[in-house]
Amino acid sequence: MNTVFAIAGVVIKELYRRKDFYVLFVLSALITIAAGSVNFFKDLVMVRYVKDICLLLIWFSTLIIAVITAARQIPAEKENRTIFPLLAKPVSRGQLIAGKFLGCWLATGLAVLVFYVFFILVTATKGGDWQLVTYSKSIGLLWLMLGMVIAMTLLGSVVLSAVSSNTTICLVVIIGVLFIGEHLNKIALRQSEPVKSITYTLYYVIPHFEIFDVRNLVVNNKPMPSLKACGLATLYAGAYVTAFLYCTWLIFRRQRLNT
Amino acid sequence: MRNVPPALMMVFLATLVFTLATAVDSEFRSSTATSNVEGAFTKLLGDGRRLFSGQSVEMADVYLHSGFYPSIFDSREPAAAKAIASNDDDHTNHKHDEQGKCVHEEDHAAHKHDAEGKCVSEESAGGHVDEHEKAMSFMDQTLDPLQGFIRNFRITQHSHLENGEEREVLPWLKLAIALDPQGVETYAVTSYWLRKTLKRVEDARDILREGIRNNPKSFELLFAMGQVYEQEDKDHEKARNIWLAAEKFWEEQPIEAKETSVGQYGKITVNLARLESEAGNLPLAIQYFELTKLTSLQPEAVQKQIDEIKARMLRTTNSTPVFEPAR
Repeated sequence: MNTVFAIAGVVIKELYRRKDFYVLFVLSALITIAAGSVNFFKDLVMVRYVKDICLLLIWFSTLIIAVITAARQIPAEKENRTIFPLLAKPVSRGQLIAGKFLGCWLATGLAVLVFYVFFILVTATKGGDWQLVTYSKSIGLLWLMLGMVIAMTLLGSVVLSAVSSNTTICLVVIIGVLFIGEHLNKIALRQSEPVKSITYTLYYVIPHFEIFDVRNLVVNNKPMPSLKACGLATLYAGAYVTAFLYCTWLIFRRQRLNT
Repeated sequence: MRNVPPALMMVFLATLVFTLATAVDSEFRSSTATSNVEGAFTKLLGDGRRLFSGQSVEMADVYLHSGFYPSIFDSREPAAAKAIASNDDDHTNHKHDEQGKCVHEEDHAAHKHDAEGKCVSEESAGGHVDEHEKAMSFMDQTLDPLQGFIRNFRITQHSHLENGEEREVLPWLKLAIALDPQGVETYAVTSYWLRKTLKRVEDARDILREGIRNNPKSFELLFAMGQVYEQEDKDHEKARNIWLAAEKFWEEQPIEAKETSVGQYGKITVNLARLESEAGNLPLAIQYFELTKLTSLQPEAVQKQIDEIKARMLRTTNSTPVFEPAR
């Protein structure tokens, strides 16, 4: 387990050495502050649109960070040939994957926390309430979703050789699921066979990232899902993460490294 | 050139740039004077900004429903109007008695009534709400276990913003106006929410003024402005003048445009009729009611109003003593 944590530690250090997080954070902060400083009808307590914009930017930024960070882990190790001394430590390929996943997940978790601290501060300055339970659940659900994203991207990184193609494909799939994943069953009902059955199967098979999107509840001050629902969501995410990581290991354990 | 110190060269170049900038700037300003007025969105998006304006109004509607809103994949009434745009003053100002009869005839032409003056589409005032509830019942019971699970993370109750929280829709409406300054309806909707729910009459008037500045011949905005003067300031004279201007602009339209806006004409004339009726100018009131009757979906109800005024005129004539009887 120490080996996994050691690899994870290196990944976290890599995140704060690279500029991606800082650029996205500054950009998000600037857009949010600009939107929040607009005065509509001399009313200073309009807060929902600022929350909406800020949460959208947080989702977008953390998604980009998660995909980019995860996508380059294994290819970069291969390209720099650092994977050979790493595996000679000895570190098993399974530990390497687990360590890379944990590192990426913890690193994006840190990024989510920083973004949310900014979000809570902006909301408070616009007159919003301190809904700490709501924010905690929202952070937790986003982090779970990012776990699924990272696991999927790691799988992509051992299947596709180029980082750019993996990143692009993963982002297209994730954004596609976020937009229409929830509605695939409705789309299926309007199709004729065999498209109907295929679409319905897809609906049940794909990882539903959109489940974890509770921005609408946060923005509109609605009650958050119960602990039971959050627990089930954790199991759901856990199952997909395990499945993705297992597939990654299955492919990676027999993969030639000297490409 | 080699002997010129770099600092001097820099000063020279800075001076040159500054001088040229002053010359170019004045030229540029005179040639693009109109586009400056239209704002940043025009420069950035061109005419494409109008496409986003509708999206912005929809966002306002989503906020009004506290996030409970059908997606493009949900089945909903295609003709169902946005709640944010149901800004007819007849909705809130329209008073009904215990029998559901209108006691205030302000917007008879737009509001459907039977011959008795009862709302035909709604049995009671609550009928307005029922129709909207029906349009928003897109989230039925589901047998799909995954869908059922997903709903734990969604808003499943239909509710509207209230207690002043309606202000949250205003940023999106203001954005819609900035994106499409010719979108007449957005000004009217914004002014309605400012005036009716937030009691910010001056802001409502300002937004209508802005709308009229950008759309000088908009009879819809003039009508809304007349309502502000009539209902908030009780300035009937000003309201009458504005509505007369609205009527004039409606008349000036081509025939095709008139056909699509007869409802608005009915609103203008019925309000003018009511003003004249209240002022005691009964023949003029009848004239306006006759015009309303031509465009109304319920001409019998309007005729009833005319008959009532005629009866009033008759009573007035009969009750006037012609001579003092000798004692």
